[in-house]
Amino acid sequence: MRKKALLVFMLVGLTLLSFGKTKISVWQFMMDDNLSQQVKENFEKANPDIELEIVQLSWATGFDRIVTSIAAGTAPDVIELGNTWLATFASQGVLRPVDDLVDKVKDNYVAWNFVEYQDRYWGFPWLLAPRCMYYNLELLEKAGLDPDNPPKTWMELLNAAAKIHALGPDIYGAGLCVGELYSPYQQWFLPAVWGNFGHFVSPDLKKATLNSDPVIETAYYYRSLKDYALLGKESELAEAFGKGKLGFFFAGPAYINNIQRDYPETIFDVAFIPKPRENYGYHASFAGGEVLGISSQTKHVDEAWRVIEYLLGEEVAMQITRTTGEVFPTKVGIENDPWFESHPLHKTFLEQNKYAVPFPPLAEANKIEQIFTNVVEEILLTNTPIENILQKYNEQIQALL
Amino acid sequence: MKTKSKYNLTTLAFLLPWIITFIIFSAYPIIYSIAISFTDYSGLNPAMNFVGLKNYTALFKDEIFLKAMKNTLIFVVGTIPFTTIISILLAVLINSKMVKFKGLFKAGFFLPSVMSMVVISTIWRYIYSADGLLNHMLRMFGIEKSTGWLASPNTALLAIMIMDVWAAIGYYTIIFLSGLQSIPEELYESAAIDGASSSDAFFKITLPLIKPTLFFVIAINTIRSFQIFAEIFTMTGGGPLNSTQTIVHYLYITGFRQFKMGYASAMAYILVIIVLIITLIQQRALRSEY
Repeated sequence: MRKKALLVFMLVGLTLLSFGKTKISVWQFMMDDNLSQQVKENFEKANPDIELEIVQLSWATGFDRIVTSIAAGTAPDVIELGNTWLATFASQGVLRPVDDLVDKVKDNYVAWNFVEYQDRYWGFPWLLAPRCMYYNLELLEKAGLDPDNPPKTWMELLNAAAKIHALGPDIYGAGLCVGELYSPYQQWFLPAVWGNFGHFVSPDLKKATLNSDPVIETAYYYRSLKDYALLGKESELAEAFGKGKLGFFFAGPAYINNIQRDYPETIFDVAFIPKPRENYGYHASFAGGEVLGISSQTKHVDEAWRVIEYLLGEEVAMQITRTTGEVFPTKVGIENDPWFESHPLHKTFLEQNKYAVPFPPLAEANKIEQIFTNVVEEILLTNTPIENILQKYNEQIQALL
Repeated sequence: MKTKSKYNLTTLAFLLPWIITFIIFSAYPIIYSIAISFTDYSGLNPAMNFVGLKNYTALFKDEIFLKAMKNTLIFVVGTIPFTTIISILLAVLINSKMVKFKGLFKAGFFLPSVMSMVVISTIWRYIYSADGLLNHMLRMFGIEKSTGWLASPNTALLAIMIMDVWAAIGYYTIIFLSGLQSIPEELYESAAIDGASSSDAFFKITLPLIKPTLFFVIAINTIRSFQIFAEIFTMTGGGPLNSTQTIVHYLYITGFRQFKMGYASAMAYILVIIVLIITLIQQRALRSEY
């Protein structure tokens, strides 16, 4: 009898305990199942009142799942978003403004410009993915260039690309992205505009300036580089680079591990993205990255915040870096982590991040990204006069501001 | 009387699961999407305002939509004749007595039909890439091409059309084969006795007798081709410079990337009207023949 009563008591207790927990769901792209499970266990151990559900989204369909869940009113509590998506989601009222929570951690993390929209904060910068210039040491040497001194300016890069291109019919000076969304403008064209002290939109985000002189100069330079370039999707260019057919190409850190694993015979290094001239401009890069936002549909803001605080922490973010090699934590002082000493290429990317600029926080960012892709493709794939291209798309951007 | 009503109730009970599924997953979304095509619903924000026919009129001023319509028509007109003719020829060849190991050929040609379009697209991306198989072959003939076939606005749509024809012919070959096998052998024997050549037999016996199959293939291929999406989504994303943008892909981009769900729904109904008109024309053609 006593045993039965104890059993009933335990069952009731466990049931009450599970009902007492708050369930927080996190939809994210960067953590695989193993890491998610590890994070869940560690978090729940430290926070017994929260049941954490971590869902990994795929890059192919994740965006659609997020949009569909929001439309259906079943959005997760915490959502990982690419930093270029944030302004659009914030403008649609999908995210909860988090100015009150940001104050608690602002000094501990960098890249707060990822999450600003209309003078408010709408999320937390989680992971960084700046772009750098990959270069093939062997091709540089064959072309009579110093592999220890990769090009630092546009002209140096153009000359080096021409010399490498002259090595053979199957060898290209550089690889430039076309034929897909985002990479054509992100990998270098827009950073090159920024590095040339140019912008496609005025500081108050109200006037399109795509037809301004710095952008025109960048576009002319970009078109001149085409003569020595292989044009294709980013993955195609990475493959050609791995096979030792490209002198230079521009991308995020994601390809370091892939190329080292798939093409161990190709000796390469990474360097800062060249700047316009030795005494003008800067080594601007595209500030890609991931942010964590709290859904405006959640009823558990405090619990969602505790989860975000845990995910932002060095332990989890650095574990993602070690697992993927594709992104870096936003934690201040992360460059002192010993992992970067044994991964010098990744360290260069982290240093490049100091010159990384995010896409301006525009509500219509998604449409403008499409326009920007068209700008680059029209520069590289047609002979239309540069001024005409920039004028046409400047008007399209202006209509969206 | 009682038995009849009992019978009706039983019928209804058996039909009910289907009716409920149809109402929830087909009828409701169809009606709801018609309704939102007259609003400015974004998809992310539940707020929506009635905008009348604005979405429909705006579509005909939207350069990208017009380009998507043109590309879709080029795709339909450019693939269906090739798919149909090659499928008939392959079916006739497999059906002939000359060919041995028929099962092997049938399975071989049908294989792409059971493969996922994502897998097919990935394989063809390697063929078409800047440093891919096709450019390597061209280089052997001294033709230098530094752009991937899918990365050039002049070749991207053509490249997808070729892939689509390759992927589709197996399925239609099997359908034509079933049509061919229903033709009585005696017809060919009597034609041979009367001195008919192989081409006479093909044009005067085979083709007229597989006409119902032919119309069926053209009808379903037309509808399928107007709805082309997976190939574009996985291979080009509608680019470069919208050269492979099609109606359904643009609809998806507009709804799920640009958050103009009302506008995207209007696009869907323009497509419905186009497909409906073409299907009606094809049905009329069928009726006049039989």
